Amino acid sequence: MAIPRLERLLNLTAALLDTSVPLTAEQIRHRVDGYEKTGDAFGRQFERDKDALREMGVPITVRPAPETDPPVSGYLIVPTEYYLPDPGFTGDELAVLHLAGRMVGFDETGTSSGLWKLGGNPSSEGEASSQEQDAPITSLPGDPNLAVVFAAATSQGSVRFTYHGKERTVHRPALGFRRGHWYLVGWDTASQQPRTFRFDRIDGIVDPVDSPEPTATEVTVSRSSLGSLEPWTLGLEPVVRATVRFDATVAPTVLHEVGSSTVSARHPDGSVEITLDVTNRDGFLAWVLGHLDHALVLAPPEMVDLVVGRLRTLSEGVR
Amino acid sequence: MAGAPRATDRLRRLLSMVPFIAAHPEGVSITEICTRFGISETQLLRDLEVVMMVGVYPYTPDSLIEVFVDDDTATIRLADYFARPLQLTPAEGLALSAGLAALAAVPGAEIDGVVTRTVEKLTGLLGERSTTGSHPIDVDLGVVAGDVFDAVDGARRDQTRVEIDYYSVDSDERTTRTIEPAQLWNVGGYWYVSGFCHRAGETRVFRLDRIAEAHGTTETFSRTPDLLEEDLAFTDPDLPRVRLRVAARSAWLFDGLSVETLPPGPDGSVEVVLAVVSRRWLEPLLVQAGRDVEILEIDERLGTATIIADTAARVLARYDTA
Repeated sequence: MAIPRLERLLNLTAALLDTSVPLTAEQIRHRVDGYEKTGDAFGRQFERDKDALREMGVPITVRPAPETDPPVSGYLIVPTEYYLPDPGFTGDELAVLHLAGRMVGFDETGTSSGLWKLGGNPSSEGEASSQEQDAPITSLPGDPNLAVVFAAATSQGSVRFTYHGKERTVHRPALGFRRGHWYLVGWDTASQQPRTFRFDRIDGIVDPVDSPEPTATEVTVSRSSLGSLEPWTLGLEPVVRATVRFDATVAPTVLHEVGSSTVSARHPDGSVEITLDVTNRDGFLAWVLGHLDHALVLAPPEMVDLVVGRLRTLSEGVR
Repeated sequence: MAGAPRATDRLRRLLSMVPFIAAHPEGVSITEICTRFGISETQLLRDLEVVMMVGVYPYTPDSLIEVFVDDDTATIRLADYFARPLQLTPAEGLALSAGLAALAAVPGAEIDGVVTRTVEKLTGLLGERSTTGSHPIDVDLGVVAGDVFDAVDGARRDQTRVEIDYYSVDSDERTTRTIEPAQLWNVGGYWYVSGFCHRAGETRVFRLDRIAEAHGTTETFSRTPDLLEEDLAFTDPDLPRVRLRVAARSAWLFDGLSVETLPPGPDGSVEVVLAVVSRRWLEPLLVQAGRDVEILEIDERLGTATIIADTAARVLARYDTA
């Protein structure tokens, strides 16, 4: 009876882990249970198995096998590249990981297999912990480029991609999620400063690229760059300090969003004036207009003219 | 799951399961293995039957993995090469880190620093931290005052009524209402709570950042069947519709709002159909999109094709008189 593929895959993994010297394909054929010893099937079987293991993240190293002349390719798994060190998660930390897994709306397979590697679900399926059952629901969306940027983020690497038609190389990227969208923040080589990019505006695929040693200035790209993802800050225009007055109906909501440290005046009718540093006029305009007649831009004159100009154009338009 | 599980899926699970069982020389209960790894007892026994045939050359009894299964316990020995699971892949690291970052953004999730500790340990597994010591991934689920969240979530868990000071976009005014919070969720960067509203006399959905204040009460209520996101008002077929064409660069304003999915035009512009409860919800979107939006069809209950010009004129009036 033919040996099931699962058994053969396990035998292959065991053999590659157990050996300290690279094994040639011929050696594998004869020493690993499950391969056709004669005939043409072995080549195909072995290639398929190697691909399957590599796709799972199993690191198969290829090196010249010893005592072969001319050198013949040999295969093995380097233990330090395979084994996951024991992270020592306590029961409550594993429970937190499990709860965290439920917050991710993308890659259910990756979430499950990741959790298995860390010890699996510690609580019984029948009685989900009260924390899990009652937890507020959220479900992060995914993006095809998240994984490659994350890999660069955890290894001090760099990435290259096309954004609005231009190629960009970014060092030391970090990932941020704001207002339902994923952002990439990092050192932009083209402009020589930290920049923020929205994932859904990246054209095509992000590629990892070789990364030089970080310079002192690059190292200052920190979480604070990620923090200010308000629409009026996502730009590189010269800073303009703008003042806007919001009436009482919307003031509490606006202050939740921008923080009360921006308040420059409070009025008896409940309205407030806030002051913001604007580096993206379009973003500022869109945000202010979203509040319709509850917002009034007070200063500087160029900003007032910008808003009035836009409103005038729209009010004259006939659609 | 339809059909038999594939060999590669079973392998993925076994590379974690075998080390786990082997790490307990006295054995692990079958029930615990099934719970931890999300597998049925039948599938587990099938997998263990395969494992006991696995080993290294020459596959004599002393070079095969030893698997013992009695009534309720499984034991594994002689599997040194499977002593530890495989390293986390970047995709797995991403999923878990993103989930933890999202959890850290939920008010009240951090109890005794457990989330921070878990993030530290996971980051240690994923490779070097960035030089600045900051984390590679940060999630912000939206702004909400901590005390508002606590009051509403607390009322939800305790099933007590809560009084909220709420700005309603539809009526464009701030009112006080008593609600019975049922479900709390986050989407698109905003927190929402659904619940029976005594002022409206029916179940409503509220955005937490529009609540200025929330005060708990001691009045209890019994939970009505949970309201799912999909049941919400904006899928009601009787709601007035508006059909728009939006230029590519402003399409993001309408993300997730269209009740119909239509393919983008050759220039990247999109057609969206919105189901609208009130005109005041629609107006800001139209004004923000400005000249990038064209009204194709609009229900007369919402307005006419001049709605954008009319709204802009109204806002402009504030500047003329200021």
